[in-house]
Amino acid sequence: MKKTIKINLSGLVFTLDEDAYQELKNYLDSISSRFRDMKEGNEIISDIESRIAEIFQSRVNDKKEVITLEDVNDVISIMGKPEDFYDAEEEPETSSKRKDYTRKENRKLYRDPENAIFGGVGSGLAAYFGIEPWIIRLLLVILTFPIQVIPIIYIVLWIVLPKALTSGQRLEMRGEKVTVTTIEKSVKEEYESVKENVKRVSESKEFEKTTNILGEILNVIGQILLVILKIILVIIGISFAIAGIAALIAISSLVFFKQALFPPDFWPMIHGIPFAEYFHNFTDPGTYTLFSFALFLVIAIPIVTLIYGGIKLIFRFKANDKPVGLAGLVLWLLSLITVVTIAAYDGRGGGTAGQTTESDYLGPFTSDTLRIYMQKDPGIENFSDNWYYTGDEEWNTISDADKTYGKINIDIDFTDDRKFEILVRKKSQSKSKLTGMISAEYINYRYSQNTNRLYLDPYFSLNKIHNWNAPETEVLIRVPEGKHIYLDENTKYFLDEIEGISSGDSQEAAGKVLPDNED
Amino acid sequence: MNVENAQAQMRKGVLEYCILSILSKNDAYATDIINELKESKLIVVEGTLYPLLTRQKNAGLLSYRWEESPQGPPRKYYALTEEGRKFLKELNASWNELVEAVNSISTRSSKK
Repeated sequence: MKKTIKINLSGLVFTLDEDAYQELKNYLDSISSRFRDMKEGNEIISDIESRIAEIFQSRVNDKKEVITLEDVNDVISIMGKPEDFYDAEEEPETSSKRKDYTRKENRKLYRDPENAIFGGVGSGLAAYFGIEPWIIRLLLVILTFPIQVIPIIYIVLWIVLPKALTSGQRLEMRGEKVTVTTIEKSVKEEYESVKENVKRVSESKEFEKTTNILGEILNVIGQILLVILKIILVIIGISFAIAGIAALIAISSLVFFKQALFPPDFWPMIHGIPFAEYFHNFTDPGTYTLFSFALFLVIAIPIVTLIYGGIKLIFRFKANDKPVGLAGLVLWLLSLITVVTIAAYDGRGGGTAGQTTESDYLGPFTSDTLRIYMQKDPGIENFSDNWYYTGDEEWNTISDADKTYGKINIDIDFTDDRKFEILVRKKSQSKSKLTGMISAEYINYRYSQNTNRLYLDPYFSLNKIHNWNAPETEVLIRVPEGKHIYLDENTKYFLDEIEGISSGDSQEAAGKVLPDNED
Repeated sequence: MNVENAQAQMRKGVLEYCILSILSKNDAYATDIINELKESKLIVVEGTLYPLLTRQKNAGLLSYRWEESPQGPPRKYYALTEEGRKFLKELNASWNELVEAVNSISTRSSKK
């Protein structure tokens, strides 16, 4: 089986074997380079083409439709090689100077359109030096940083260097032995040859060929668009790669180097604590390591894909991505599952809450009304008054050298009991109820009573060595039947659940005596 | 200097003259001219002829017309112009002189 190529020679259509086509093209190129510079060159070339068409016509019939290499070789021996032509006007001396039909080994610099990214300058250089094109490309890209004129040089070479179009030129580009007269086509000459073709078409009055010119123009526009598209793709590729590398550095510094490269406020706060520290609050270090590793993969795998895609856009190499891509996808999904699982079971959102409750009855006092105040001066370093003025953050914690402090919530219940009761409910999340309870045990909370005044600390505290996990403390005050409770204004942002008041409005109870419907 | 080269130079010199001679008998297209020249062993490859024909045509010695071909593309039929005929006459004269000159030289030298 052979591939065939259809050609139009002097207005006749011939079907040629691929090798025959290549040989004929080389031959016609050599003819045209021989005569192109003469003023009657075009006419000579078209006469010769017309004669070749005539010979071909005599070679094909119903049984033999395709022109073979043998036919082409016959034509060449009939017509003769350009150096065999006599030329009356030329001096004999110059004929010896003429280029031989067979050339000795001699490399020439061409652009290589078949392996091109832009103009094929890089691949042409690579062919000239006999190395892989990507080495040249990498060098060009790297050297562009110290030597900024490289892109300009590239463009100049793009304009100046001829394209290696024929197989002969391609061989010459690689410095192999060539059997055709070389055609030194510069871009200008290429343009000239197009112009000649156009002229020849109009001279031969075959106007259906004019569609070819339109096609040619469209083709050129298409080529230009293609080049622009390629440039855009490469720019996208470069930005992908750079963004990806930056993101990779950022995420690894966060997960593995704990903000060695970035200040803490670089990352958003989650529940009022730094992003990175959030993950340190898991119960055991093993989980933390696994979590950070999985999180790293979840973020890094798409980034690496981005970088890889970017580099691929720049250098356009072919690689079998499927197995690696599939492995990456599986790894990514596994990491995602790990992250979600750990977050669900060990993070704040879920998990098992360990809880301990300390209950105490208040000492007797004469008044019917218990007055609740928040302790004014908590005596903690870094304490911010915000706790008294905003209820925004659900998860208010601060810490000093060895302790962590959390904001408390106040709940009010009304009971049919006889005495005021105060319950301190300490909660902690953990993998098991038991460890949760144990860590809850370490939560310290203080309040003090002075006759009918109850002073509540605004915070609970926990030693840092206990590696606490999402601790919470609620202070529940149970108001007996027939008694009242007064909540000072400064309790406003600590109020959480007040019986008889919907949870969204609980802060409105501040500064009031409850229950207010009696009396 | 080898014989083949000298012969090629000689043929080349008379080639234009021969083309005009062939066309003085009949109008002809390139292949006819080639066949005749090949018979006389004046040319070896057809490619040689085309540049010569074109030059002669451009010099006003030849004219051509297109004629349909039973097979293949239309053919260029060449004919001598008036100028071509005059040119040929002059060449004929100088050719005869040349032949005589060559003959007389070679016969004289053979007598010696």
